[in-house]
Amino acid sequence: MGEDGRRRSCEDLISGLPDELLHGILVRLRCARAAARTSVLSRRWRRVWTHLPELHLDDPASSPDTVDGALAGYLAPDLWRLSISPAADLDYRVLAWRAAPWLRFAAERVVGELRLRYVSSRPRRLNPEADLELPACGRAQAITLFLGVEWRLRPRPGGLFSALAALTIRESLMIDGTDLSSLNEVEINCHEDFHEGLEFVELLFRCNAKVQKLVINYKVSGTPKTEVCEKVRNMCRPNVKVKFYVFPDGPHGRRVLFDRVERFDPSPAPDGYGATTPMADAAISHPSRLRCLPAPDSRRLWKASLRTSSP
Amino acid sequence: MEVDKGKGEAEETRKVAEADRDTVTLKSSDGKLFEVSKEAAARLSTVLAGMIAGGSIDDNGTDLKQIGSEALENVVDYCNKHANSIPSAALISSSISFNTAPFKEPEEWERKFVDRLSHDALFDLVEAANFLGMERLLDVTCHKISEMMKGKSPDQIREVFNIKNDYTKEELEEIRQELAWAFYDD
Repeated sequence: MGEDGRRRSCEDLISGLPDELLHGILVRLRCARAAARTSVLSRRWRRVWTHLPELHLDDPASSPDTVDGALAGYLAPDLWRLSISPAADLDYRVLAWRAAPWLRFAAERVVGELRLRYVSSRPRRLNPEADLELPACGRAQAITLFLGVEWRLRPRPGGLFSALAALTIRESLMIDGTDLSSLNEVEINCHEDFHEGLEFVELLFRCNAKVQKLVINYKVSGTPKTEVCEKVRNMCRPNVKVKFYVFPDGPHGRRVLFDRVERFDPSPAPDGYGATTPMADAAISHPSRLRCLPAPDSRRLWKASLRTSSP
Repeated sequence: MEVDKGKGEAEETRKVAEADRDTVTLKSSDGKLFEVSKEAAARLSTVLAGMIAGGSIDDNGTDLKQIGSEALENVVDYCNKHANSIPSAALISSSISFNTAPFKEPEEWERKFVDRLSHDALFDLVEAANFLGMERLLDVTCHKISEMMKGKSPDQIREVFNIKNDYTKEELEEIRQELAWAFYDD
């Protein structure tokens, strides 16, 4: 720091700052492209952006190629926040093979939050179906995936999400097992097929997730029917706080707590409620037993529960 | 709150209030003394909090040899304004981690506070905030500097900050090609 009173207005005061402060400045641009462009300022700035604690690849000009380029150039081993939201291709399609390497990068580097939004404006059915592998993001604390396409998101078998505390997945169907034991808050958004959300919650319980809070956004027009309430009720477990929201003004309108479900007492189950089989009933009222079961069995139990409570 | 007077006079004042002081006296690199609320100093600066807790605060003025009087005056001014305007809970949650917590936008008064600073004073303040471990003030000053970059071309940024381009033409072209993803037109 220079002496006070000395006029230095023609000096370069920024390039001498430590990297940590330059990161603090560049990160606030909230745009990885703008941060990377500082590479050409001078040699001092050549690789400053490559160690930013956050990469924001979500400005409207981001394309899948932007994301590939930025991730290829990034050098730090730990990334605190990765926010990816590229536009769809020129033909409005989004392709799973483009997103797969981003998830692999995130699995290796992200130690804080991953947000990936990769959606198409085309009607869902026109997008190709695909499997997208979700590798174990062992250090990520929060993951939000918004993949508005007909993809099946498959966590890599045996993957461990040991640091994960919050997970939001929209519109993708997740199948197969993994370990989400540190997960404690889950939010699911249901647009058309409520069954997807159920599948997801089923997965969570199968994966030993110690879910404490479950938020369900039921973005379907009309009041939830009795069988939907019944399904939500089946998700209620001891020690799980369930918030069930409806959207009376449409999916982008206000969110209202639907207290007809809130009032349900998750345990013990009242006599003869719904059409659940005794086997599924046992699974709901004795979750500790369910957690102790090996994965294939617990899966079957929940399948039974799901089948019988469907309309 | 701030005192900026001759040494002898300041010492007299201190003797009177010695017993149960709720302020700390800080001394700039050029020997000027500033007084700031102990509570605000401990809350806003991890370094000062450590010194207060560790008993290494000098009643005759804690030496901050790295910080000039103009920057220290701004630091103290910021602490005083902060004490009057933001509940501590909001501050604590925003200052846990400079690099990892989501940014909290500067408040209106914080914007005004940095907007009135000269270019030199802003950079002195960012270094002072860094030295003193003042996360929130770092947030605010870094935000201001990033705003000076936003929407500008590399040439314009060089001009704003007086950065000397020490690349050759060939090197520049090479970097632009390597970072084509960052340079294509919006």
